[in-house]
Amino acid sequence: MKKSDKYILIGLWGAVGLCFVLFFALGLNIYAFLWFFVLSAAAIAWWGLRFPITEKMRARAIIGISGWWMVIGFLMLFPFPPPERPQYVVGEVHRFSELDHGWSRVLLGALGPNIAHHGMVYTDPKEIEGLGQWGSLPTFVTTFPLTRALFGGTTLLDPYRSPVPEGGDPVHVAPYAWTTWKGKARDRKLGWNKGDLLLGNVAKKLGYEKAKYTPKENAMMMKEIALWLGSDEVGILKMDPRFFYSHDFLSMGTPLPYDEVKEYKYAIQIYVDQRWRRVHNDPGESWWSITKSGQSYSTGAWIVVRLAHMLRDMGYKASVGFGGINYHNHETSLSVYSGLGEFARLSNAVVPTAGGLRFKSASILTDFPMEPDEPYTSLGVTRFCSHCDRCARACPVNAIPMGEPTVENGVLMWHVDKDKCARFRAGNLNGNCCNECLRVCPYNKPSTLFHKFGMYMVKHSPLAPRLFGNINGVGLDDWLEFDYSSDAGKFGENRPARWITEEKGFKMQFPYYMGRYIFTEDERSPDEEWSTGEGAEMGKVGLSYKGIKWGKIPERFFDANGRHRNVHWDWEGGELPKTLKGPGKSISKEEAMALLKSGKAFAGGFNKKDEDVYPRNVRDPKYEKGVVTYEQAVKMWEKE
Amino acid sequence: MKDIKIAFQFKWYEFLLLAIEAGLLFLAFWALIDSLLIATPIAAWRFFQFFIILALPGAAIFVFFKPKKKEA
Ligand code: SF4
Ligand code: SF4
Repeated sequence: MKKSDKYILIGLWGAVGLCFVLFFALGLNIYAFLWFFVLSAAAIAWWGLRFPITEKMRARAIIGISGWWMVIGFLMLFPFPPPERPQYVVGEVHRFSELDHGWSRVLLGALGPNIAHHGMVYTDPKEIEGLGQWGSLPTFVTTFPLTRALFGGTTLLDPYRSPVPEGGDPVHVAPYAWTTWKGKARDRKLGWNKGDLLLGNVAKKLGYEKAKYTPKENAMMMKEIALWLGSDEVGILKMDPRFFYSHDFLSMGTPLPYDEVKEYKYAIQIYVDQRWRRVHNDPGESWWSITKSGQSYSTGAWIVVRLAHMLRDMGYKASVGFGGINYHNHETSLSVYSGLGEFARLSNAVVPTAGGLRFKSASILTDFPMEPDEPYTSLGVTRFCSHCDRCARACPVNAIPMGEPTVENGVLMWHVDKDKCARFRAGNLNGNCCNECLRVCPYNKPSTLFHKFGMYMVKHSPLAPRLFGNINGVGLDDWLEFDYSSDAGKFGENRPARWITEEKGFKMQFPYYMGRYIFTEDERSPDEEWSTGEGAEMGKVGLSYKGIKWGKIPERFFDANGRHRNVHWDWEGGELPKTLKGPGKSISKEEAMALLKSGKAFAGGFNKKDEDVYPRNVRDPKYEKGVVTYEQAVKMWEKE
Repeated sequence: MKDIKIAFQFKWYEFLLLAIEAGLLFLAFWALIDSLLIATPIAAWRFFQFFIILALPGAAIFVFFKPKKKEA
């Protein structure tokens, strides 16, 4: 043993200690973590090779390291109960107007004229003539053959959502090809099938074969049929009436009073996966991006339309929602209160059994009595999101919050900046739409046993979210680079993000009248200045994120004054002119009041005062005053 | 042909560490194969490295941290 051996050993252990300190100082940094193990191994090997070791020392070292691993194993693998999901409702919750939806605001012009005309950067309006309800303005879903096929297919089904319009929806009703049984015919033929036999695997679980129509049996049968028809996951819940939109988008502002939907006590939520293979192999901002939504929207629509018709034939009421904008209700709460998901950093629900954020849901509202799933199932998602910010870092427009959850409309959760997100998705000048957030989310994994094992740890272990998350530095998922696909192989290059901006100095003039709706000052976007390109950090130039290198924006995309041009990367023929007007019109306050008071126009929104909501009966103080929890609201709704 | 005789003699605590090391090795291969099957070769290689690195200190104790032969 030389003196230098001792110094080397001290040096190695010093480095181990430094890694330990850095691991915590850098927020559980993965590199410090790995070097800790490598250097520990080197120090132990050096010690064993250069110094005398006794059997007692060996025994102690082995028992020590084994004990350490057993503690870690216990913390990672023991089925600790997952953290209770937060009580999201902490204040007064008002119904949400579908016209405050990001898409409605874009398409109806409430965010500015340029973004309302976004489709003109790649489509001539003449090319979309005859698209019916989409009007005469091209959009990101009317431009691309596969997108047109998929969204066209979804739109095709809109008239079958319900046999009668409720709150203006569906705008055009078409009778189902096979009419609904009525009266005596129904009484003779009622049943899951002729003879009322249950599906085999449901019958086995229940221990009897002929239907008794108990709520439990009804729920099991509906789930089984929905899964069989192609949904990847199904949830059932009781309706909280605040989940219904107060005003409808497709009929451009028709109000939906509580009375019109009071028979809908239950909801069935089905999920269609956008598929790992597609999400993994195509960058979120490519031309293919929006087709992933189109695939799952149109597939989901066809599942719920058929299920709803079955329910109607059985003598129950059923109305369906699908396709992003063809709903009576906002979808995220249905995912959360069916116990399948929790509100995530992205505001949407992460549903771990449906690929995290990688799904589109569709819903059936009905009076068919079913046993609901446990609405407060703890999944550990909110806890994991508090240790992760991969979606927020990947978002091209910084629409996803980095910090703690905040309260908006009485709900404590992370609130995404929907105007920024919708503007980027509609106005993406590099491809079509987005979905970067769902692509990078660690829950976006295929459902293999290995990843189920990982999900189990994230759900139960108090240690796993801290080790796997990346909130303060580089986390396990960052380091692993699941983004890279050997199927596609070309990940790693990306066009710097660009999106449609409004002209310099743009300021929306309110009141703004569109269809049957009046947007007022309350609806002014907080991002108005940003939307003109001020401080927008276009392209995240200089930033690089795992799997994506954000390069420089080529010179040709700037005008002589150095301002960003509204021209698409792939087709420069469609540059937006600078004199566009919104599809609606700005009117005076007096004109607006006259229209609202005469019942010719409506206004809503969760952030409006009661006296500014038209008509008044879309707000009910029973549900929308004070703090009303989900259970309380459900109980009251059952009695309506 | 000569008979080949292999004799192992482990203390109980050595068995314990061997089981842990085998578990980490199993995870390394499971992660490798699973990740290759879902077309994520970088993740496959890194996951493999990850579990091997975790196993290194135990392996170093097992192989190097022992009385020298002449001292035994
Ligand atoms: S879809 Fe794109 S723009 Fe919207 S939040 Fe996700 S990453 Fe951001
Ligand atoms: S990327 Fe992370 S923070 Fe964002 S939703 Fe997924 S788990 Fe939550």
